[in-house]
Amino acid sequence: MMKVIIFVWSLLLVIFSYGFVEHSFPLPTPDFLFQLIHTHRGLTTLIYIILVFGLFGIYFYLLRRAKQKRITVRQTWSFVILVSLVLFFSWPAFSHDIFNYMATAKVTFFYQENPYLVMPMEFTGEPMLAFMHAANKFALYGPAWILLTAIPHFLGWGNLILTVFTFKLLILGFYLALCWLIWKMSHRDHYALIFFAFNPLVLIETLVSAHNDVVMMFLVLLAFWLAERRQRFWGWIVWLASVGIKFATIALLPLIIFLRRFKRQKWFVWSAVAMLLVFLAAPLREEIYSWYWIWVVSFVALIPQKRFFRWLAWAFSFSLLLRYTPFLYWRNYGGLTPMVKALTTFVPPTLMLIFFGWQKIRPWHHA
Amino acid sequence: MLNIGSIKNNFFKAAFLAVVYVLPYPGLMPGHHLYPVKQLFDQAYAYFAFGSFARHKYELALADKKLVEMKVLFEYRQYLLALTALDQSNNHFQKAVDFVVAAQVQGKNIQTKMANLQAAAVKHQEVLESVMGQTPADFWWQPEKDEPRQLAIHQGLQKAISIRQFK
Repeated sequence: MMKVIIFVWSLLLVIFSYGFVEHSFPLPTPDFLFQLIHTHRGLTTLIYIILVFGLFGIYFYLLRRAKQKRITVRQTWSFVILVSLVLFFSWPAFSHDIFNYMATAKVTFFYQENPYLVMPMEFTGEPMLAFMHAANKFALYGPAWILLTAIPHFLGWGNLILTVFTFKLLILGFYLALCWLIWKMSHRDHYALIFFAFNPLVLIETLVSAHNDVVMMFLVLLAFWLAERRQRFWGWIVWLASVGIKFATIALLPLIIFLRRFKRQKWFVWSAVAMLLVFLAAPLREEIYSWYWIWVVSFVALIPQKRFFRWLAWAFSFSLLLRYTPFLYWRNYGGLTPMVKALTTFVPPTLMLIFFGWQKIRPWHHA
Repeated sequence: MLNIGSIKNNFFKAAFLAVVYVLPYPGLMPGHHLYPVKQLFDQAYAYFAFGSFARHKYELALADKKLVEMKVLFEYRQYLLALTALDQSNNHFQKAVDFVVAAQVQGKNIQTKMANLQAAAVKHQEVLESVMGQTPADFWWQPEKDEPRQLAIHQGLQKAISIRQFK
């Protein structure tokens, strides 16, 4: 029964995602979806919220089953594989970053130019310019990521649609690898695996929008895993590769240097804190993007017994997915959108903090 | 507002672009103790600028920088250093042209690069002509421990102008 629910809900998300195909992209959108997304914006927003709530429903149900030890290894992995396979076919609806990855790869491997010095828009007549949203930017990611994108770029054979899915396949591979690593590092704990793998934010940002954060997080956890097995040298190399994906894991450098001074759990706690600080510092550079939360969730999955972190991870996962709603409703980034985005981002975590604070002072209150 | 696309004549197009083409601040000048470090950095940067477009941009940026360096050195009557900077600017400009040609051979659309290069050429010529009006045609350079030699300033400037009058 659970398999059917996961399949149907993921399929609904896949269908919904195709309404967001850019009109300039050479992929026809079914008329009813186009009408829904572009004309009935209130309904679109409502459907999105229902889909998110549904994903949270599945998530908490599976977590409860895992906590009660009423789910087998086989079932857990079959659910992960099922959701991965279905959502793999979704369209990157809520972010255009995948097109930036594709364009950067094309600048590097097709035009053979340095993507840190040459922007996609410099190639007059390039077909991707018709639907790219950041053609006027140099490469935003690290060299390790750019090298890695050679694989989906060449596998795409110059076909735009095929390339979208080869990039999605690369991300899917790293998502499954990260799930496996979390499972291994948590001593095969189902709860930890579900905590990460079925987190709706992770699902939407990784399997739908195909953000590369899972690649960075896989490498940093692999670095820790190697270091734990006394392969310090390879640990350092893999950590460097992780920094070379998206730079954010540079914040873990002090923790990696003093790795042996920490107990395992403490290391994960402080890593979660470090990534949380980088996440909160994001507005100094640009703005908080919902997929950055994957940095924190990956570590919190390894310390699910820490109640505060667990609730914080859920609160932000929920609030960050709601960040899309003002845009879905108003279809612009101006006006009330930034204010509503800020409110949706910080109100649920603030309520959670108040709740935790209240619980802390309650014993004193009763005394 | 004037739209560059509406200007049909290439000369006027280049002249219009030259007005908006801004030459860079030259940064450290010869004589500064960190100038060799800057030169080393500039040379090393060439390896980072792989690809015909990237290399074209790199060469043109250096051609611009060396040209401004030359102008300032002429103003301070550092003729020998100024002519060296001019030589370097010529060299980089020539390479900038070569890399656009290479890009075209590779099948890249070079329309915007050419327009930019033409704008740079017009701007460079403007600077070179103004320098010519403020400098002697020749200058006898007397090194401390060597024979004096003649510096053909106007000839050098004229050569630089002709390099920038490409088709």
